[in-house]
Amino acid sequence: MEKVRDQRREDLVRTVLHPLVHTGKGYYMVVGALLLVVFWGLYAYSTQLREGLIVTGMRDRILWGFYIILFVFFIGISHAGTLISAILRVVKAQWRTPVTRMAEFITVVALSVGALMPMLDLGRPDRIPNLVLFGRWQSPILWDLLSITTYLTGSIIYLYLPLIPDLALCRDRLGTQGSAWKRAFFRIASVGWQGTARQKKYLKIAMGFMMVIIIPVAVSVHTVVSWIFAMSLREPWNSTVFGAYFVAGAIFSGIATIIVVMAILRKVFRLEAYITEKHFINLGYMLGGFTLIMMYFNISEYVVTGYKMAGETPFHFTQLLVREFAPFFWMYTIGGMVVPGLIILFPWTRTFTGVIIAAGFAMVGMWLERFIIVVAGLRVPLMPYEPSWYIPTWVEWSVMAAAFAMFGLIIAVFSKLVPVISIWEVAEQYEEEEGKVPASTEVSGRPPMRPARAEGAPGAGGGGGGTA
Amino acid sequence: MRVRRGTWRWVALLGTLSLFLATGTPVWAAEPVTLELQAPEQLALGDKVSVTAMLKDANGSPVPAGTVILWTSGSFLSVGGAVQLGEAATDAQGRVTFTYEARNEGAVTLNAYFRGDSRYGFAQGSAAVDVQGSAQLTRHPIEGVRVPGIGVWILAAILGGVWSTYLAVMVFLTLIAREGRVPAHEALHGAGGRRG
Amino acid sequence: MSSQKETPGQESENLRKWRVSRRRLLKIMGAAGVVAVVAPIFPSLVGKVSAARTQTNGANGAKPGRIRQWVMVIDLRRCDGCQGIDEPPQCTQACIQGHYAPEPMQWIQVFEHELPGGGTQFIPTPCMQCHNAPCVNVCPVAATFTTPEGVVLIDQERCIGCRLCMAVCPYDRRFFNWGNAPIPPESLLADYNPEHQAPAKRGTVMKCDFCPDMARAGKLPYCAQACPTNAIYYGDLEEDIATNGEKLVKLSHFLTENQAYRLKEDLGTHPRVYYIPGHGEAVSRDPRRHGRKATRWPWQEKVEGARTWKR
Repeated sequence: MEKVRDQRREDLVRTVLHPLVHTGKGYYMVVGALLLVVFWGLYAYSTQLREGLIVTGMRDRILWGFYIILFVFFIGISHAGTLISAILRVVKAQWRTPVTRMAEFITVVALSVGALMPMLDLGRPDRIPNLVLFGRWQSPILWDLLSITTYLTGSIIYLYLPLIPDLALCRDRLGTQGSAWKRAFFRIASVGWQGTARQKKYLKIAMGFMMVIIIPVAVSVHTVVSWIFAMSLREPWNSTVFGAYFVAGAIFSGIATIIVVMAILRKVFRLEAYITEKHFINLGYMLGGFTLIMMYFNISEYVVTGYKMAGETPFHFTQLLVREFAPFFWMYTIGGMVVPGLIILFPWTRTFTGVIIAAGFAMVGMWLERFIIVVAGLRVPLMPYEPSWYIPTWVEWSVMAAAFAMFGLIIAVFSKLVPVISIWEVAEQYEEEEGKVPASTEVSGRPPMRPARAEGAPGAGGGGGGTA
Repeated sequence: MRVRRGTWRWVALLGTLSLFLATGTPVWAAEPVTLELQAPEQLALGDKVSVTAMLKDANGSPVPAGTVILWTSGSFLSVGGAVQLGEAATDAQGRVTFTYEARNEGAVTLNAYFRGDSRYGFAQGSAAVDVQGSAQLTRHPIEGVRVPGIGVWILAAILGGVWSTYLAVMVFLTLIAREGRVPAHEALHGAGGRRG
Repeated sequence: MSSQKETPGQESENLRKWRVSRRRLLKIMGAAGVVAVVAPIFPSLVGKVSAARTQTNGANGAKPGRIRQWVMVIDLRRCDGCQGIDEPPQCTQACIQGHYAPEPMQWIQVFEHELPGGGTQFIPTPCMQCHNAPCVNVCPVAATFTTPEGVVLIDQERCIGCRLCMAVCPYDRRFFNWGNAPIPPESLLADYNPEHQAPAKRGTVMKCDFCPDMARAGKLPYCAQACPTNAIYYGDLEEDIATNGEKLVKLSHFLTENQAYRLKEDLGTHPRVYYIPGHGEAVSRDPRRHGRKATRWPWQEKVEGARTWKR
């Protein structure tokens, strides 16, 4: 019995630590390709720096484009992580343990990429220091700056805290396998974690603080992002529901992103034994729930304004429902909400593949939603002039590709640096399943896992991973 | 050029009118009328007062329904000339009341005139007003959101709250680090050997 | 690990040193982090957010101590969109030449608006100089600001080019320098001032500056000077007076008598540009005659590397 338990834990450690020390050719190819795209994006941006924003498709009337869309999109995705992991932690959902690490990491990455976007959008990026020198607290841009830096810091802490025991495990288990700087990283970053009772207590308190504070911070971030739009007097944006609408959309797109990223990492790192189809189904339920919430918000927003048809609303509804934006709008409403909702609703489509398809639809739909909000919102004429149009240029497409490449790149690098599954939390869950009170020895990286075995274990093409 | 044109128009009009008065009776048999303007002599800048004009015929009986115009002379951006302050018809008592708001300090001459109609002739009256003061009457806007009771303190409080929580978490992190070093060293002794 | 070969005593010593230094580092990092993040609200906290380059005050007006409050009244009864002289709107042309405004920018733009009974009216639209200006409210760096004279200006030397002010302006009266502006070379010699925004600076926002510098010098703004029908009045709310260059009017009286209104009044922006309803009837325009001549940017020569764009 004891042996079986140890074996189970040992397999977990082996499988999860395997990618940290073994890197295949495919990985370098993927990273190389991503780097290529990122450099291409940098080149595109350098063109923009040289020539000005004239190289983009934005103009005076539709004055925001892909950059702001991506800003909202990535900041939205970032909600997934922290919010979901915090909520699941707060409600102590048992199945969360293999999921939280990835969710938290997606948050940090998406936030870093997203926060970059408005800077690319600036006409004078050289004057960013003015935000500190002359910042006005009444400006939504400043709220964004403050809330995103606060959220980024918080989510890094929140990602880091549950990493400490795993980093200690890496420190102890990887021994001579990693490069020197990697070992140094594990040694410093694990802050001397020995898994003592007091350390555990402190960690638990610290995580308790963070998972409570991170929820309102995350909610505030996307609310403030929506206020960039809602604080204006433009007809389609002048809405009090925007804050909640954006937060719901953010969590929705975040769940979808987690599902997609998790499916990729699971496949690449052969984590099928730990991230099971059950996890996808559970996340699918959350996704399905949020399609309902999103539909509700859309109905609230569009029915209330559409009923009154005040001011420029007829123009806006015409361009949305039957004219220029109709393909995007219906892609978003049907493809982005109804289809994922139905996939989750029917038991015969609510499968592993089904959930991933639903998540893909939701991600595309949510990108389109931001496109519609930004571009269609700006297109509504303010004065008697011909409505203009927005055609993104190669610069914007390149920067968008680079943004997604960067998102993937950071995740790829991270997956080589730290375990993508929270080993100690999964192990703790095993303890609970096995009905055993957690003993002082379990996941600190000490016995029963012996270094000699760790060294030999991960070889053999993921035999430890167990596709069973 | 335009400036002159405007001024000349008024000079010409007033000149004709004074000629009218000087020659006494007009060519056609218009009944003579008098227009008396009453206004306070001393005003503070920004005061709103009533200025009353009385239109009476030669017998001293009121003339109703006569259109009276109140004007003063002024200058602004190199343009000088008459500024119309109001236009109204007399009531049954031959009285017309204007509200005059003193927006310009110094000596001001208020003028009223009655152009005359098919029955009555032209009449005018004036009153001197001395306006004192230098207070600003219109307030310039203060930029930014002005919600009563809300200020930057609210942002400072929220940020302070969140960041002190972060700091508290950091304190726990240092506690973990300390815990991992001092007492654990003893515990480490045994394990330390095994590590190598 | 190097510590593996050390005796326990040495290890402890090293570790303690390391731990102390790391704790100090953590403390410093924490404090620095807080300072860095909260820094943007410091200017607000100490109340130092104001525009750097406000040159306006009452002292250079005729009335020392009292501050002018510039306003504009546009008499639409007198505006025919320059159909009468068969030219592009002269207000726009004069503004472009006076300010070296780059190609697609019409700081005062003459819009043609359908009337409910058919026919059109022409609406010359400068910046509304809102009393409750959305652009001023949202600017993160106070690059757009309201002067004591009630004029909304932009400091192109502070603007970061985020364009939030353009997104919130309900009158479409803000213009962005997307590239190197197509301006004449002589504009580069102009002495830059937020009250006279020349030369144009790439990556910043521009708009009608209401020409308070000209008014202080006793001149009407370019647009009012150039209007062939004297439809544009420039005035001072404080002294309650306005002129179109031809005659003087008591502002409050003039507005009341002529049922003046402001654009999109229901938005609560409180513009300082008033309109007197009409469609050019005072200058004998047939409201059913549509169209106006297109605006021209007259320069033969443009600065090197300049590219024109469309709005």
